[in-house]
Amino acid sequence: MTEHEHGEEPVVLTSPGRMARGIIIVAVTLAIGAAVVVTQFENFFSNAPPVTRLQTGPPPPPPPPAAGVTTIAILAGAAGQGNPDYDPDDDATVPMGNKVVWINHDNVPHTATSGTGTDDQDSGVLFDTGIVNDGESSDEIEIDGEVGDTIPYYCFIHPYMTSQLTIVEAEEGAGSGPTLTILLGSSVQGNPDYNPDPMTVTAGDVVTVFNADNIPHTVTSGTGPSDPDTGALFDSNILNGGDTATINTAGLGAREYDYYCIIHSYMTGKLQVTE
Amino acid sequence: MWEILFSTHHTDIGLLYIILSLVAFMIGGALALVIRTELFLPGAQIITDPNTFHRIFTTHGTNMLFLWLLPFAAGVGNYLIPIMVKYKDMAWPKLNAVAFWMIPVGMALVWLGMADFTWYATPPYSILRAPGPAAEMWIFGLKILGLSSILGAINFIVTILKMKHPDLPLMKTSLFVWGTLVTSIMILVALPTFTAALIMLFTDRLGVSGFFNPNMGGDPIAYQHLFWFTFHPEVYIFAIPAIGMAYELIPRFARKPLFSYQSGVTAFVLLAIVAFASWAHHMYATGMDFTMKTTFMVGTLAAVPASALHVFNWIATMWGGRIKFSTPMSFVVGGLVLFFYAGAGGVVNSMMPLDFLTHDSYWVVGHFHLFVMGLITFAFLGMIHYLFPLITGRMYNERVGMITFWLLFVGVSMVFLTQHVLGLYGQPRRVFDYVPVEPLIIMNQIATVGAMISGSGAALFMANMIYSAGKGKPADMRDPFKLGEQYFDYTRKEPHH
Amino acid sequence: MGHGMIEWVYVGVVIMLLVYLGAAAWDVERLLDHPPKDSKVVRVIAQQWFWTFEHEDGTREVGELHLQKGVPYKFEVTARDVNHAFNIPDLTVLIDAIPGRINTVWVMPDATGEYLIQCREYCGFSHYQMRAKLIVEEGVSNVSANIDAKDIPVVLPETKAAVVSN
Repeated sequence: MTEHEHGEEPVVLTSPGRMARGIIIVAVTLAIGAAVVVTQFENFFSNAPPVTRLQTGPPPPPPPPAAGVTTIAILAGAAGQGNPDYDPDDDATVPMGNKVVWINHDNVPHTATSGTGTDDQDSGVLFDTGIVNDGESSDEIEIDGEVGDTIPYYCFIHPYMTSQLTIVEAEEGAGSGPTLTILLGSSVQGNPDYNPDPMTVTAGDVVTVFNADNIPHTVTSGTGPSDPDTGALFDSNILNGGDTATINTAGLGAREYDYYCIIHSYMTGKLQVTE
Repeated sequence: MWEILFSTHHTDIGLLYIILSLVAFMIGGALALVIRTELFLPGAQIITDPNTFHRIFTTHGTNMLFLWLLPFAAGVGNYLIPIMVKYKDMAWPKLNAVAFWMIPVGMALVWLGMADFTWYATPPYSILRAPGPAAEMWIFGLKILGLSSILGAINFIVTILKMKHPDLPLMKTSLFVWGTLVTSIMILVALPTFTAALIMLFTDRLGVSGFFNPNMGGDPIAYQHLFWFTFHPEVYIFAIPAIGMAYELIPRFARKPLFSYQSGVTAFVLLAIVAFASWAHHMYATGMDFTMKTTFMVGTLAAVPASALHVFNWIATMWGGRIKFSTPMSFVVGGLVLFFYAGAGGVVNSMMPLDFLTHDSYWVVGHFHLFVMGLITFAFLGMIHYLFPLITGRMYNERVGMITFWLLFVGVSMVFLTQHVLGLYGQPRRVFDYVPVEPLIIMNQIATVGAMISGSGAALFMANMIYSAGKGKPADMRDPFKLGEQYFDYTRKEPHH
Repeated sequence: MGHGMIEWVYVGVVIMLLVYLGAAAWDVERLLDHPPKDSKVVRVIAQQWFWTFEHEDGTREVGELHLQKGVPYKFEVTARDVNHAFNIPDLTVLIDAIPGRINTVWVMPDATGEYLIQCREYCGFSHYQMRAKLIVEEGVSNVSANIDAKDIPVVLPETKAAVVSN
């Protein structure tokens, strides 16, 4: 213990040298602290509270039936009688369980309505896309039937556009495209969010996005809310718990894409598209 | 330098407390400037991630309360109490050192993690959502800081009650001693509740308990009761040392004896007791029944006469005195003026129906900042200017001191009085962004400009302190402020036995 | 010390002022705590980070709430995950939304228009933009006929006291 005089000012009198040394000690400590804070900022903020993994919430929704999507194009110029209309045309095959989407590349609306023509009594009974506007895609249409069934269809607006599709054996893996799952509990920051992440697909694959959490999420291209191109490349739109959506990678070039959830922008993932 | 790091002498420890708290004040203030810059305009300015913003204001609040207000009061107490009770040191010097050195540890935990759940750490958010390890670090950091407070409080109580000079009756000790005594007793009564709440938060986060977790049958409101039972008295724990310092400065600079020592003591004791009767006025909006709300409104209002007694004492002391408005006095009187507004705003908040206008809005932010910046920080800054010659033997630059005062007074008024109005317009607390309407934008901008003015005042203050400590003019130790009286009539200690 | 009298007078004045304010507050709060008997109930459910409203007839609205002018509404407010607070600043409606608990607040909107609903308790990432829109429309029927006149709060002009019978 140091000696201090009584009766006089019990003071540590400063001198410029002492002051300078004191300042250096404080400044160096603060600098080291600041460096740690800045470099480790995210690392100290990345674990969800342990209790959230133990939580028994409502049971997770069941996974979607493995089903892929077959696309049929409505060609440009199809409205002109005699021009090629659907592609693939009479030889179109749809694996059992797949849904079909018609993409209208023409500049006028079309439909794909089951039946042989407008005088068919059963017209539209098996399936009917309804009006598909120019440049748009139909909903995903379920095709009921057995393997081997051939179902004729036509365009209700231009009945001379006819085609047919044949149901074939379900593909290996039931024609399912790759599935991207949004995990249960992913809304809690620090919990695992997307699975698999990163995800590798081949260009042209149709990715099924399945929300296994019990609150809404999205899969939206971009690095985050401040990204001006948010959603420009792909967007699942808002998926409620248990819902699925598809992301068609056909138009995407081969590289890695960032995506995130627009509601919980701390949920991020990467989609790797290969040739 | 090594000797000061290992010293257990009260003046060394007091100095360490003061230096640490001033450093914390500056870096907490820097965070405040970041917040105000971000809020200058709607939308994202310098911060793009809301998470970062939330971590910044949580750390700002936690830092200012636990690393500036408490340690500074402890530092001045450490420096002066043994002198004032005419004893050679604190009752337990080694414990004193231990209590201080726990603070940098707590500081590191709080700052490195930067949790995001606000300084209240209210569950269920803090249990179910707040990411770790920042959250756990905050919990442990506050545990350590709380323990440090409790150890310091024990030390003060024993020093004042047991170690004071036998010829010095308690009723003749300075009111600063009374303030410190009362504060320390309050700490012992109030803090253990929060210590328990912290442990409960931690085990809830782990999932081994469900005290506040609604999914496990717990009650989030229980936490709020525990928290506020500690932290309403805690705000008086912050304020009472400042009030004690005002009692040191006002009679000296008014060159007139204190109006009434008796009512000072009475007011301190009353305030300390009544402080424990009002905690749930922070919880009016949680769905309490009418009787409970009335009870706590009465409890809150009951504390006002005690504060009013202090104010009366100060004004009556200044009345008719030959007041010298040097820097310490200016700060204290400026603090007194802001105390009026803070208190008036507090009365508004305690009125049950009016609280539904102001709760969790910027009114509350303006209100409590007028207390902690206006009354408490100003009293602290006045005190540090006053003690400057005592501690360093030199005199700071008086002109710079006065400029510092005016910058801070104008700046603080601009920020926090404006925020009262902002709150009435409905802007909530703890928001990264706000509705982009004209009134909100203008008021936020005024507040930011005020913050910049305050920031420059604070920076000037630090520069003054540092420069003058090293190169200031040596002070006339008998009367550095030229008041015509003895500077510290109790530096002459009697020889200890 | 001398001049003790003036201090007593001062404290007396302060206490009387506080008693007056406290009594006035007590009086008004009684009004706020007792919703009129014929209030329509609207369930308000807060969750990170949006508002869901359920009317008595089962209609559910998300992010928007349609109310009728002149009708008293009683909000039953709760939350799904963490603490929130239901706040309509222009109508001075404020009550916490706490998971596992239902809190009540009532209001009778007296002017048509659009109002802001916001969250007033820190609830995490998007707390600052957790807003909804309140739309008050003209009542479709003469709704006041459904309310017993004695249940409408009345402010007595002389005493300025607010009176609710029962």
